Amino acid sequence: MNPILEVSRLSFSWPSSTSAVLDIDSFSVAQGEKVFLHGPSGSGKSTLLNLIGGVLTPQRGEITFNGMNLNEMSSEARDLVRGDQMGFIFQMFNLLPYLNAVENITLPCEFSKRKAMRVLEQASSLGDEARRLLSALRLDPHILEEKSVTQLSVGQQQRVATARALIGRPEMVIADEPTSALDSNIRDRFLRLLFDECNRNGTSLVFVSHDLDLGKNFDRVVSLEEINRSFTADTNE
Amino acid sequence: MTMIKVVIKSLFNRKATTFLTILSIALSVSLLLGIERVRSGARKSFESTVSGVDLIAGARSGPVNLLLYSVFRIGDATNNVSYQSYERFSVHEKVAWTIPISLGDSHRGFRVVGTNGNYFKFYRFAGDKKLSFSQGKAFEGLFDVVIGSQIAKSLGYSLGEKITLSHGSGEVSFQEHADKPFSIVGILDSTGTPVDKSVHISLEAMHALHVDWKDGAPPRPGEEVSQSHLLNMDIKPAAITAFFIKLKSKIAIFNVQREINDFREEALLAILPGVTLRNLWETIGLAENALFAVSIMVFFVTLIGMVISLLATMNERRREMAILRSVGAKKSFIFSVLIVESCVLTLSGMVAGLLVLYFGLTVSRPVLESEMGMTLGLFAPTFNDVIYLCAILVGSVIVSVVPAWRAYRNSLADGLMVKS
Repeated sequence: MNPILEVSRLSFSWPSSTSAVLDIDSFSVAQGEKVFLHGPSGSGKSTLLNLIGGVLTPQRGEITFNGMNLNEMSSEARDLVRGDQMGFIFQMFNLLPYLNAVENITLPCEFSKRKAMRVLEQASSLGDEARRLLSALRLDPHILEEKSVTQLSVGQQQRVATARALIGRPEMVIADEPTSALDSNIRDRFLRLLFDECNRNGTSLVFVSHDLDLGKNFDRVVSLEEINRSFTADTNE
Repeated sequence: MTMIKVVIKSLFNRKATTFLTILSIALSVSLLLGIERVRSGARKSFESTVSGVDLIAGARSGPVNLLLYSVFRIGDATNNVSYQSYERFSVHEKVAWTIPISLGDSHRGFRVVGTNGNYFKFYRFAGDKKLSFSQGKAFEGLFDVVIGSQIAKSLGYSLGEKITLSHGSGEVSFQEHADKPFSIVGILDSTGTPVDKSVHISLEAMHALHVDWKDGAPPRPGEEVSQSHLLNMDIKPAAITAFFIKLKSKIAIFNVQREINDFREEALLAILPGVTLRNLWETIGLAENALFAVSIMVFFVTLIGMVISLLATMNERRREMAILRSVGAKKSFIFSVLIVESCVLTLSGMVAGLLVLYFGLTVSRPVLESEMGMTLGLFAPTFNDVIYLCAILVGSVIVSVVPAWRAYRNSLADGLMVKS
């Protein structure tokens, strides 16, 4: 299958330091593939996610997303790629406290015409699609609409965030430790629901976690420690 | 659209800070515009103390001095104008009418003005307002008196009451015209001018009070002329203090002024009241500038307060900015959020401030008008107000660059996730 994401000969260092925090020879994700990226803290995973999201640019190497070389684009164009074709889920506090669940879910469509159009191809309104996603993720949309998102449990919040990442069928969902704040039984159910939705649309998934136990469910497990040469170099010294 | 929605919901989420910020902007906007209203109101009511008068003439002294005693009834004239000279100009071919003013006596601290019927007929203030009587009518008899509204109010006088006048202008006088009481025949409506604090009698009465005086000293015992005797005398005033002139045509103003100033038989001075009023205001107008400076400072403090309140929330909001970035917001969006936020705060503050201003004006207007004679306009924002409001908005945008830049830098450092 064609790769949706290709990282090659990538090197990144913060302006203030001389040594690279990331030095990756090659890392790629195929279309529809679910990759488990294992990395303990300090292995440079948030830097890698910021690079893929187009918020940071590497000093050396290339990041190609869906055939586009992110390094050659302006920061505004990268923002557009991120908004149009990616969805993000973070560890916790994913939601804007002043928007309700449905507004949080449809927020990406405010920034991306493409996502909004793709939603309206299949649903009659953005709100309908948000409610459909909530039901698919086993949340009752009616209860959620009456509550402030800050009143939801962590598990419910993470599912709302997942619906936000999935809306508009992005090419790739990037999840950064989305389950670390969840109990183990809820965690497994959460993963299953996430997989179901990704499969439905053929969405690729990059799932970052330090919890190796989860890896067995994925197509492939990649250890960031192994692919990031500057990390191993650091620890060996 | 997204921006406005995000900004308004985000502000609403921080109700307490938002409310306090809007309140402080509202108060400073209403203070600034209120002071502006008071400034222009004070100036206008000052300049409209006397209107419809082309020239004021009196014994030769300084123009400001002449204006002060003739219009504001402050201080004393250095000299009198002989009645002959006054008559000469009152029948001048270019003169439409004149109002004589004769000062010198007082009643419990209020100045007594000797004048004639023209005063009630022709005196104008605040544009084209005429004197009107709340009770009674103009004086007719020799010992009739018409009092201003404030005297009636503060001394509790009513029609028909007898009052006595004192010699000189002090509050406490040792030389009372106790033997010649006057009866109140008229009470004037409030004007907000020195008229409210004046006791009006006829020129003849003014003369009659002093008929038996010699060289500025009260009559010696046995030489007094009784009131009943006076009533039968033919009294003709000998002198007045100043007179107001209205010309048939304004074109003649400078001719007549020169004629009075060059009058050979007596040293006289004629002034254009409008010009002198303006000169006088410029000297006493320093206070208004100080007031204005204070309100400008209040405004700056308010802007700084707004920046501080925006900066104070900046750390809590790093996550909010990171979330917006992760769903596709550009860097410029993060910067603009803070600018738009301060615009929304400032605009809400302005609307609230205008409400406070108009409420305050509605409440304080009657009091200011009757107590201080200041008429504050309850009209729509003036051109000046609009300029101030625009300046406030521009100022708030300029200062909000500080929190906006801060948010922008934070967002660049944080990327898509805030390290907790």
